[in-house]
Amino acid sequence: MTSRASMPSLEAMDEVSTLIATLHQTGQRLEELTAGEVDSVTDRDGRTFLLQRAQEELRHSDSAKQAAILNALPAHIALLDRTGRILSVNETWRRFGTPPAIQGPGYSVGLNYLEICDGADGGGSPEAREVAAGVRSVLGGKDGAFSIVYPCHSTTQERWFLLRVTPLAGERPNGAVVMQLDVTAERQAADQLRASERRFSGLLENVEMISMMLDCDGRITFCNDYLLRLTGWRREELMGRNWFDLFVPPELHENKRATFARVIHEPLPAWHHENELLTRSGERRLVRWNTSVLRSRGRRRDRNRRHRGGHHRAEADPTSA
Amino acid sequence: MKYRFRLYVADNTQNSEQAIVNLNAFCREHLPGPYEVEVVDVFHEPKRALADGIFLTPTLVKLAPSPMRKIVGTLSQVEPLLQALGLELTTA
Repeated sequence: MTSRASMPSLEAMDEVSTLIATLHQTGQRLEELTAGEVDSVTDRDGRTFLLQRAQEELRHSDSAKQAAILNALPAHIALLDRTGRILSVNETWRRFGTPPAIQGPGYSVGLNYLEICDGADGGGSPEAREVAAGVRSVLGGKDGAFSIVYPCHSTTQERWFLLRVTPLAGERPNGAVVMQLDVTAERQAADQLRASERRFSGLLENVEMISMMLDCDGRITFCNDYLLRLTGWRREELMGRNWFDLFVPPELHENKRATFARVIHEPLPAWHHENELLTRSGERRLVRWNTSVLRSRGRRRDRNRRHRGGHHRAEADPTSA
Repeated sequence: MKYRFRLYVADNTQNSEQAIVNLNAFCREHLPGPYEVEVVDVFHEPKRALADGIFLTPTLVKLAPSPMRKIVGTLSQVEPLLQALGLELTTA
């Protein structure tokens, strides 16, 4: 009964038709009177109405701007409805399709992205299932976002992609945006950096010299095995402890701390010096040090500059024990 | 003498944007002295539009020098604009 009561009567429909005709004629007459030079009209109560032509122009203009922004992005972007159906894609997606980790028949507007992921086979299928689960989670409002970095290698090229799914704005889940970006360069750079750090660390670990690093407060952040063998400490006992408290003879404390503080803030490129080192049992070793200051890259030379601390390499003289 | 204008527009509609472009070009090319242009969106500030008696957009209001004048449209025609603003005698 309620639905019948809410349905407009035939008389009401006639009046609606008449009003629409009046609205249309009013708009046309306003356009004629203002020679198409006006976009909005305001009544005496201050209520402003956009004319029909201006509304359409505004809609097209907004749509074109949004499309231009999306098309300028290097990422593959698709808009999904709440069921996972692809509603819209940007130019990059259209031109290249989605990265082939999720092997499927194609990714045109109208296809269901979830069904494509569910039906994926080949090397990318585990990632495809994970992506499907992530998309469902976002579409269902369970998660605010989902992202995954997955490999997508061919026989000749190694490639990595970042896939990120975010919900459409709104109180209730009503769709999602899928963005995929080629992050191969970043991934390779990170891999190279890790390999470089492993080589550097391996070199320092195995050399027959003391090698250790301090942070800006003089706390130990790295030391090699040679220092441990020479002094009798275990690594877990040293990391994070203050170098000066443990290794510098008491009569040198003040001088060495002051020197350290000075070179951190007014750095020298590198310097050499000799001083005794205390072992765990209190024995003294005469050590010739080669010290340099490490810096974070890209920092300005001002008071905000952060120093990673000092790096010390040293040769110990066993005869001085 | 400084020219002061207030241009009422409606969002980023085509005629409104065209009026902004045309007004800026007009001021640069035809005004002999300094000028100031204030753009008011009737959707953001409807009370100001009502107070100024603005019923159509785009509408240009010349505030100074007096007398105050109003011009409706995209301001694409220079000669009518000069005449309506009473500026024909001051241009080179």
